[in-house]
Amino acid sequence: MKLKVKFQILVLTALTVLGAISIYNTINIYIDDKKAFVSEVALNSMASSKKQVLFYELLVNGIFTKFEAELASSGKPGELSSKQDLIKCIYKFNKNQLTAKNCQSDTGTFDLKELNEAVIQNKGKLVDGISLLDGKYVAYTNSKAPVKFVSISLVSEFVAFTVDNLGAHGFEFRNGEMFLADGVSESAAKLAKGESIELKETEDSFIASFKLTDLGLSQVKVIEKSLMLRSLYTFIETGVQITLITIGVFIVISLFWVNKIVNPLKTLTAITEKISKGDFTNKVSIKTKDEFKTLGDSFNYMQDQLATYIEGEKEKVRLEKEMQVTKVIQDSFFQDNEYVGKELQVSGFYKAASECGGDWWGVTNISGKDFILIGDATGHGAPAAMITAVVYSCIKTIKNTVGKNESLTPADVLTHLNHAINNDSHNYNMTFFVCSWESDSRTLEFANASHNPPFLLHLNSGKTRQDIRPLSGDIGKRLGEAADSTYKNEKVAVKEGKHILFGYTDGITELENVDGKQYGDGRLIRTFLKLVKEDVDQFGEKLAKNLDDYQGEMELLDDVTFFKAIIG
Amino acid sequence: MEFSQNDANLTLAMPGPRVDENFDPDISKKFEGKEVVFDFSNLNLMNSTGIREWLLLLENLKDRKITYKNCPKIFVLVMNMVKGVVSENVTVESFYVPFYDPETDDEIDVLMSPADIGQNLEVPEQKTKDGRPLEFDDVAEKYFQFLKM
Repeated sequence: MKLKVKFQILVLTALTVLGAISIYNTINIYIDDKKAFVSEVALNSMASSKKQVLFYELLVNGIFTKFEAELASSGKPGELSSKQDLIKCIYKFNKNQLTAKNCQSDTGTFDLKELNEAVIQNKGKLVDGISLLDGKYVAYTNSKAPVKFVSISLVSEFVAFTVDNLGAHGFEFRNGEMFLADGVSESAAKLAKGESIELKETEDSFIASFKLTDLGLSQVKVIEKSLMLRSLYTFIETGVQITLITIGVFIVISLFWVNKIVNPLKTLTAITEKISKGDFTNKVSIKTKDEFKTLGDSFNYMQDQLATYIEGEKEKVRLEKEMQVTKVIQDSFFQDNEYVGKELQVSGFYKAASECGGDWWGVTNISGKDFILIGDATGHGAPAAMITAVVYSCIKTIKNTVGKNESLTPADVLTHLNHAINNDSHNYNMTFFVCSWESDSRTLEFANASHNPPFLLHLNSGKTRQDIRPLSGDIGKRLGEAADSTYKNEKVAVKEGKHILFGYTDGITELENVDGKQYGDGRLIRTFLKLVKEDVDQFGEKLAKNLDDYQGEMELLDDVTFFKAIIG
Repeated sequence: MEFSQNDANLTLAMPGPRVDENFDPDISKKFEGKEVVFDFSNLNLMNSTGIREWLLLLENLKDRKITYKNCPKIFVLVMNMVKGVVSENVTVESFYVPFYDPETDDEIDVLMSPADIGQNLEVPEQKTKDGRPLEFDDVAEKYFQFLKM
């Protein structure tokens, strides 16, 4: 369901519930108030009329007494006394029917016969007399005890009657008229107890109320509910009409208003779909001056940032792919297996700080001499890897171009490499160490371009610091630092017996542990001596593990490279 | 790099704590006088890029007398490995020498001068406060190579 419809339903529901509660409460209050008002007015008027009824009853009783006395004495009805002036008509009663006679009332003419028949037909009940009171018919009885009065109002809005204080004289409604009923009805009994009731006829309801007069008579007022609540029904009808009109107006207004809310959202949704397809060129244009404009501006900013970020990510992915390719290529530069030459076994270890690095080591045979090489380019990553690629290619070229009878020294190699690396910008340099091994003469010849001097140690020595021979020599400038750099060869005569030659890059000595402390030259020398004493064959693996343990969870900051050569 | 002018002929400069790609070698053009003393007491790091910048700084000062003092181990390694850091116009006044306590595994650096080491590169014996002898924690021929330059 769309937001607009949901919103409308929600507001309409809320309005309807609130309206219903309000109307229900209003109606209840109105009904109670109406009941009280109508009953009070009617009962007050009845209280007054009942006093007159009592008066007439006493008067008529007196008249009948006199009339009967006259009848008894003379056999004919006598003339009425002067008290007849108080009433307009006196009727002779023969126990079966009232004598019908037109008479003039205080307020108008009525047909006594008609009234009489209506009363007499009430199940044969005998009504002792009927009188006129203030435009209303009054039927009465002169029974001795208890005295019963029934006041019947024929005014269209009201039906009124009286019961005694025992609740006798029940009543019934039939066809909208009230008749005297036999015995004590349940309703009359309730009324006699002071309870208010609602009488249900076939199609209509009557509201009955009760009031005890000062004459000891209970007065019951009955009014048709529909008549009593006529104004309420008018109010409800009008209220419903107003409510419907209000709801209609609300729907029209809300359609306009909700559209103002929904349209910016539709715009955002449409552009979001385009963004999801990689189109970041569409800008949100919301011209309102509310929060939606702020949202639109934020959305545009987010879109720009997202586009920039995705472009960055694409570039990152592209670079990562290139670096992976570079790594694959660079890995091919390294010696996979142990190199075995004449009285020479060389193996190495390389671990890059990133996908590819600036360290390189290698071993190769050129013109009958085994050359061991190790270098460290400035920094690490792709630029440094490019330097190592140049070095590797240069070594390959040298190997393939130098004739068998040509003599190539380590200094020559460094010079060639320097020419290959050097450029005008001098941005990238490389420390480098090259040594050659001639088993026949048992001579190590080396040249150094500012690289950490490898350690040479006789395995039959005491394996102390003093037994380590660092191949420092004459330190030349780093490769690439100057085009005219020169390098000097140094020779070491290797004694009989096996020696270990250990070369490394500063990635080892600068390796940091979790405390930020560097591995250091001192620790490297101590570890070197310890591992050589333990098992020179496992030296490489154990040193790699030692370095790994020292590094722990720390990030590798520089490439780590070393080689181990067993000579002799 | 902080520096001060003690007198018209002497500039005292303190490189560090990091000499790296952010190091400006042209700051040396502000140095006045014929002599510059570099006090490396604050130096914690000098990477390969920093070395390159340092060489450019030395190129700017090739006509001055330069003195290094309070050289930490990392700078000693640079002096040993990088040609040109200890050039003819450079004098090393003092430097730290690494020692190691085999019992406690502690590494202790001791400030020494070239005269303490001598021509034969003999490291003076050092002891802990408790009198235990300390080992020189490097290879003399390697660590003191700068003294032969």
